[in-house]
Amino acid sequence: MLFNSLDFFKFFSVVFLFWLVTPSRLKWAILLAASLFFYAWEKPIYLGLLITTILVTYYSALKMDEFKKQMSKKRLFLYLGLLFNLGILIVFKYLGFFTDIASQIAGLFSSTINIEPLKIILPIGISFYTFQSIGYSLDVYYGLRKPEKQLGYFALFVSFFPQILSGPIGRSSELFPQIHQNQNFSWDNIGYGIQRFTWGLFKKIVIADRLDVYVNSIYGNIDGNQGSVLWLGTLLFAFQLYADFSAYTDMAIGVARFFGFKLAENFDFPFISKSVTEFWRRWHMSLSGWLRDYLYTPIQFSKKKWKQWATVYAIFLTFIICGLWHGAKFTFVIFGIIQGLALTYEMLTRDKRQKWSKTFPPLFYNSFSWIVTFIFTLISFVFFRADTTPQAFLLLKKAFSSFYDIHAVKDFIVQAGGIKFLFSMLLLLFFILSDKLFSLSFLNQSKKPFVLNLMVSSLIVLIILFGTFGKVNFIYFQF
Amino acid sequence: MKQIKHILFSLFAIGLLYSLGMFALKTIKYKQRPAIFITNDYYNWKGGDTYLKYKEFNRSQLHDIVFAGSSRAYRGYSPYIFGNHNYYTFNLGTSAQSIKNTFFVIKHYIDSTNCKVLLLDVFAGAFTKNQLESSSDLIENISKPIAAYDIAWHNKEVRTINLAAFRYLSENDSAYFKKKDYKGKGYSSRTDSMPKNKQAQFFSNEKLSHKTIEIDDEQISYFDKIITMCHTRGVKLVCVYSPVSYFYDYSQHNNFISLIKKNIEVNDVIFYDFSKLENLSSAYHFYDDSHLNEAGVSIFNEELIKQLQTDNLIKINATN
Amino acid sequence: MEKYHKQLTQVFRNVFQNNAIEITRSTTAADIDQWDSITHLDLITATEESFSIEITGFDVMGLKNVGDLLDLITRKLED
Repeated sequence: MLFNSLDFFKFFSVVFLFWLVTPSRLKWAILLAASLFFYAWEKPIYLGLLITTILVTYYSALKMDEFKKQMSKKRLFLYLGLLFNLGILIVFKYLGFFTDIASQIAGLFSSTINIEPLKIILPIGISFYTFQSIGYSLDVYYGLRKPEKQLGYFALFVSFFPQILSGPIGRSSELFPQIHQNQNFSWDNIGYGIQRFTWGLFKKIVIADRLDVYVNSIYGNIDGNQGSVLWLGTLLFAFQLYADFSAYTDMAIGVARFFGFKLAENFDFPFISKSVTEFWRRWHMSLSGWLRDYLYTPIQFSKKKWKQWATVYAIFLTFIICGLWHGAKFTFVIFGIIQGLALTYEMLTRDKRQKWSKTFPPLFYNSFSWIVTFIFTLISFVFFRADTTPQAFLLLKKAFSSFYDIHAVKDFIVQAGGIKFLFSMLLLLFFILSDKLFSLSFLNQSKKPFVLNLMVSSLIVLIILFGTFGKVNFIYFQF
Repeated sequence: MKQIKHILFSLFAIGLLYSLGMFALKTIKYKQRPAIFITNDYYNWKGGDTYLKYKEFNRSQLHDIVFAGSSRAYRGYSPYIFGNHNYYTFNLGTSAQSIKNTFFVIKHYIDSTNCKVLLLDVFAGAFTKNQLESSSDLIENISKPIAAYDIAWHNKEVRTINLAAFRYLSENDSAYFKKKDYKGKGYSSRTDSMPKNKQAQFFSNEKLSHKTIEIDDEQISYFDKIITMCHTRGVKLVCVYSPVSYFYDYSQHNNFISLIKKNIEVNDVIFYDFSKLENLSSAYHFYDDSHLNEAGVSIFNEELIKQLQTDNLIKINATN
Repeated sequence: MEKYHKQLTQVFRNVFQNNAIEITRSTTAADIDQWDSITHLDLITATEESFSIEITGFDVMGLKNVGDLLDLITRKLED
């Protein structure tokens, strides 16, 4: 169910009405029922998978607590939880990828061995809710959190419908206190929810879905396009991806707030970053934070004796997994590796760069850092968007040979509808320039209610006038 | 209460800003045409054959036949050839006209005082969900504003509502363009035939790809409504599947025919399948895979007239 | 407790090369510019050396702020 669909609107209205009339201490049950229904909507069969995840994680956490003085048993139950969650993730997401590699390797040695690559339909949201469950297991293991005893509460923690399909990946320390505290109706929450949801809706159907058409046409024909056009396509993709995913997050946060829940933020204007390290502090924050706490830090400290090479090792392992998390494809592995390279470079040159920043005029140094970071981000996004690795390299080869061909861009614009394309660019420009104003005003409620109200009304009018009404899936649904 | 005040203020602000936006999109011009048309691919310029034909159609005179349907209708049935046999006819077909939109055309334009026989050109493309192209054309160009609003409302689409609002503001504007191949009486035609290389192209792409056309239930239900409406208004309904070329993807033809036949047979509607008319040559009588050129139309229409006369749907005129 | 606090402050100042750094029990990584997931390792290693204790990966996971780190040091030293 897309947030920007009539189905969701009906679903939400019904759920909200039920939630309103249910007594406080039972409101969680309405949300849980709604969440399970929501998850079962597309493919009811995968509801079984979700419920099993909930039960296994719930049980293993209770056992870990029971054996908190016996490290070996405690670890056993940690592994039970981890293995199950990683296991279903691997089976459903990566088995096809691995059998594919296996069949290729087998093909190298012998033509008689025939391993058939598996084709399994990815259960929607699996990457998100398994990570959330793993985070919880580790929190209990590290003693940061007491296990949740009430199964219903725990089930809601894993399956809460605003976030189950595409995050933000929630932390036990953030969500459980909110689940335990009975949430009640509040006008402030409604107002905030409407603001965030509308802002997300605007980004999704006025910006992202409009760009989708152009990006698809450019990336669908890498052979036939000049480097300059491919740069344009990649630039548009970067904004499409940001608008699309931050839109989803805004809508998720908005919907959750109706029920009094505060979900984690996911974006903090990533494209203003002046280093790749900073970029990962601003981009998909719930994932990068998760990776930092549950993967990078444990790896880093496990190799503590290697000094700074422990950090390099941890960076690479983390980012290869981060790449693979996005999808079982080599393009994502490469995406992870080049991010790892950039982060390692930045780590090793940290002191040197600090010196440079003091020798050069700040304006010059900052702009230079920003441009280099942004171009690097675009290049890495090529691997994010391209269908295959050879295509990504072909694109980059062209991008660095015929980037000056302005005529090709002109031709593309004419082909893409001329003035109609330019109008879409005008909307994009409006989004880029007003992103901070809208995001921060809604996030911090930093304007008078009357002004916020006027901003939402303007967004609604822009959505009605310029929305792309049709079904375009959220990009992060596939992860 | 504070919240009510906020809600009312929002509604007021949305109404006001929307009106201002629409007004701006009408007033700001690009190449002498209102800016609204550059904001969405589905918004077309006002004008062309649709605009002309609905203005030209005389609702107070009795026609022997009125044609309805998609481009296959307005390019496939020539009121001039019917005129040669002294039949007074008019063609109300419009680009990609969906069955649902045909229903609204009939609802607002056709009754027993101006039409004896309604000839509906049927073909699978008109029965799909995709109807925005046809709706936007009709909303901008159909002569009765009320018909335009009716179509806009029943599309349940934000974009059609925008177009209806735009039409309301620009009712008095003149049309922005004309189409060369419009011949009058609702009929358009071309004289060229399909170039050799295009024929080859059709073979490689279209014919072999077998695009599945998904028939929409809502369109089928509107087909039923058309049948009922013609019946209650005392207009004879005739459905025709007009000729297609050899290059046309024929794989779904039988499926489609059997689907609409149910409704046709239950209601005793007359149906002719001319899809494979033998005297037509795919190379000379079509300008693409599914549209006849002028030479093709004349052969097809003569055959059709004979058939309609045989079945007594139109009287054989003494003068001929 | 007080002496650990003083000594730890010195560790912070050395690692982050900034003599102005003051820490309290509620100080977190967000409060100190250079303290991030990369320098965290340096900080912990320096703490280990200064107090002659060993901090494991498991210990590190439980740290939310300077207070937690102080408690950890106390526990390690007094166990």
